Amino acid sequence: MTLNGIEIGRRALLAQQYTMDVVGQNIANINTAGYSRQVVNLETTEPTFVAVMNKNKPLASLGSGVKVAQIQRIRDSFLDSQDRSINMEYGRWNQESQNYSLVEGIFNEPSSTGTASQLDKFWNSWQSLASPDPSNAGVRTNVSSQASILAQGLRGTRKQLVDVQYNNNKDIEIKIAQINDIAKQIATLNGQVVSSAASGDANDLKDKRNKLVGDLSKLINVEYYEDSNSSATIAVGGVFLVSDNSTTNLVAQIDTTNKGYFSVKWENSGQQAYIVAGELHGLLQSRDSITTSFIDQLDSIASTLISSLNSQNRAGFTLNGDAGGDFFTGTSASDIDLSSEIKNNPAKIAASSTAINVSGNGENARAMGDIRNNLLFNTKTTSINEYYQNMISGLGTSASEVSTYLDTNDSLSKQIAKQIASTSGVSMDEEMTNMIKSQQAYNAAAKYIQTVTSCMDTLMKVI
Amino acid sequence: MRINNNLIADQMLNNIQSNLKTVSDLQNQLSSGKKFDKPSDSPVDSNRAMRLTDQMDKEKQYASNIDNTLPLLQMSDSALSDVVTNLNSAKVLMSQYMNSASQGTSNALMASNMEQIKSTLLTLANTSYNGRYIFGGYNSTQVTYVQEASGKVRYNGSDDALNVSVSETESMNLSVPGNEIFVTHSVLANSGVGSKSVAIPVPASGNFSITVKGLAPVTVSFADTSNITLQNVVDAINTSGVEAKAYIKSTTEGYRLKIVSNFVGQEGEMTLADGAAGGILNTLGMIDNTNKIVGTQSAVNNGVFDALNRVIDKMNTGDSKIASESTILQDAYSNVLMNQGKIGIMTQSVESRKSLMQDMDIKRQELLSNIQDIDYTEVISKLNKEMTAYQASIQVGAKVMMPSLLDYIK
Repeated sequence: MTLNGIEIGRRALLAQQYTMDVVGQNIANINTAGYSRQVVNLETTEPTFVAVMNKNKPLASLGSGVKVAQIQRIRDSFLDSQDRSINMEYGRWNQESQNYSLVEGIFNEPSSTGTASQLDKFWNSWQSLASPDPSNAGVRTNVSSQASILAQGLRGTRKQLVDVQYNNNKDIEIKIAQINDIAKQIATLNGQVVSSAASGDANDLKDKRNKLVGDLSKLINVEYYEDSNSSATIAVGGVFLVSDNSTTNLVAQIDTTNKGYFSVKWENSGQQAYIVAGELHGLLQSRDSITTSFIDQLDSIASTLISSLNSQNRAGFTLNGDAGGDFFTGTSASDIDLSSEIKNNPAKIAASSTAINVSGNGENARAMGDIRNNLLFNTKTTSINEYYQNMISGLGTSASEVSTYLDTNDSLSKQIAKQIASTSGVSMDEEMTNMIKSQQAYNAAAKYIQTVTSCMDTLMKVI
Repeated sequence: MRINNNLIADQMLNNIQSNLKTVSDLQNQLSSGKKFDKPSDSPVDSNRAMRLTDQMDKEKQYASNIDNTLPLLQMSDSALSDVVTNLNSAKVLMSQYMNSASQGTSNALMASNMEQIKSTLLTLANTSYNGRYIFGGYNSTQVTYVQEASGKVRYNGSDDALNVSVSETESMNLSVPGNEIFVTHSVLANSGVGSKSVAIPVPASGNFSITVKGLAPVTVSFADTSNITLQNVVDAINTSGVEAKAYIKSTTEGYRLKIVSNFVGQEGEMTLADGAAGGILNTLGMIDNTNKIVGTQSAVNNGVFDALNRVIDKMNTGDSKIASESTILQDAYSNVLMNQGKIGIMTQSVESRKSLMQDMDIKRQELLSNIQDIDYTEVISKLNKEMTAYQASIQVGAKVMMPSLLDYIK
């Protein structure tokens, strides 16, 4: 009789206790974001050799119990890399899609209050002026007020679009700060992972780091490597954002060549950062490409209105028989306005085509109203109203395209999340089963120790 | 695939959310009655809807143009009817006079009756609508016909018909200028120039004169003959002080000069003369080398007012020789009838235009409704289906979420 039996029992109790602890940890973190379930790998301890009465094999190997070889984190790094690349796309489309819905809201078409209907009312007011009585003060005031409403509408729409750009710009600054913050946390975790991986598995630290990298990939395009020491390196466009426990910051720098908006640069080198995905890319696209294109188109509508109506008004004669002046002032949608002369005195509208007999002559007003049908855009194939309609339909097409990309990425991202959850998620049933298994193994080991002890007692009584 | 609790929960949430989104989209459609409320909901249809709305808006304006002009046409028609009645009375009175002039007893009474008819005609010729004179062409604010102290009747209007746009490319006349009804002498050149603002061929003389009957000739002269445009000629005539107005008329064969006298009838008859043969008026196709008018002239006899004035004078003096005036009045009568006919045709054509527009509008509305309005039956039945799916997903969810092994360990 040796004390070997008690030792085996002790080891068994210990191993089952650890298993129960891991079950506890898993259940506790069942709802923790980024948590990977852990499993205990049990292993037999080194056997001992005992003398047996066998002349061919005088020594037999006798098991010495169980030990915890490893507490393993169940994680598929391929799924993680898939997740990151989908995050990057998702972040971009999500941002662009939000921007499109803002722009769609601003234009508010089709409706009875949008610019299209203001244009219609404006053109129609000229028709009412042209006949039957162009000298009537009421119809003249109608033209001037419709023109004011249109000009105000164009200015207001443009201002709202510029506000969207301005907010995008603010968001870019905020996102850069977030990226720098996350990078710093990853660098810190890198240090901790490396030092604890030397002695243990650093499971929970790796989960934490993994979650941060996932968050980062929503914001910006990242390239991710993990070296043999489990230290993570993160690069953006080939430049290291995080390397071991050090980071390189991104900065938002005012770009005077781009209306004073921020451009994204590396702090140490001053180089432009190469950004092709993530929310940051979506914001840059929204600010510099999407919104800008609508502002430009609106400006082009306004400047065409200004130049064509001004030249036609100058060709006609006012109610006093004087040659007409400018109808609109300004050069773009930002400053278009009805000329103050006409605003103060609608008689200055040049409705007549001749300097004499102006009271019944509405020919020039008719010509002003006919500008609606003139093909002034796209090498003389498109009228002002059609240009505007095409702009809105372009907006609709792009917006629905982006929302399709977003939906696709959304379902891909859900798919991957499902696979990750399937691999790394905690299953209550599984944990309960493990708990019962370890509980029973624990009970059995305890009983075994009791039995060995009673054997020892028997032996002691003999002595 | 390994299944665990959170996986089921997440999946269920996703499904419920996508069901709920469909329900919310359908409810949105039901409450707005429209298939889309943003262009991105349906880029092609929303573009078509915008185009149609734009077109319908335009057409609505053309229809309201017509509505605004119809009263004007009706007013013209009724004024001309009254003119015809009064001309008839004048004719009756004149034949009475011709039969009874020798008796000389009631001549003064007839003259005063005639005076009454003339002043009624003058009032009718000055008919106004909303304070605007309808026979004055573009000059709608000045009294159109004025009896001057000299006995002449002055036409203040212009030689232009008012127009109304009835489509993107067409406009229709909606008035006849007064000088065509109570005719004033006018000459339209019989050849045209290609542009108002390009110099005409160098004329032999820079001078020409216009003489209105009974007045001194008025000379218009250009110092430099090498660079005269049609517009220059018109401006020079209009500022020369002559009792006539010049116009540029656009015809299929280019721009032509037209000169219209300021006085009605024979009393406004004009004679034209170039400073030398081959002068400006000759170059523009108004007169030949002997200063004979070759352009298209209006009949100076149809002036009505001047003829009536002469009749009244003769009645007052007992002169019974009014046969020539009687012929003039007969011609004038047919001329007014013809113009009334013109107004009638204008009225008809704008009215038929309007009914065409109403038909088109109904078609367009139908089309627009097909594009943007929902089919309620379809949407409601879809909504019912989706609601059922949604409710089922919540119920099933509530059941599958509950049990795990934990529930059975006691």
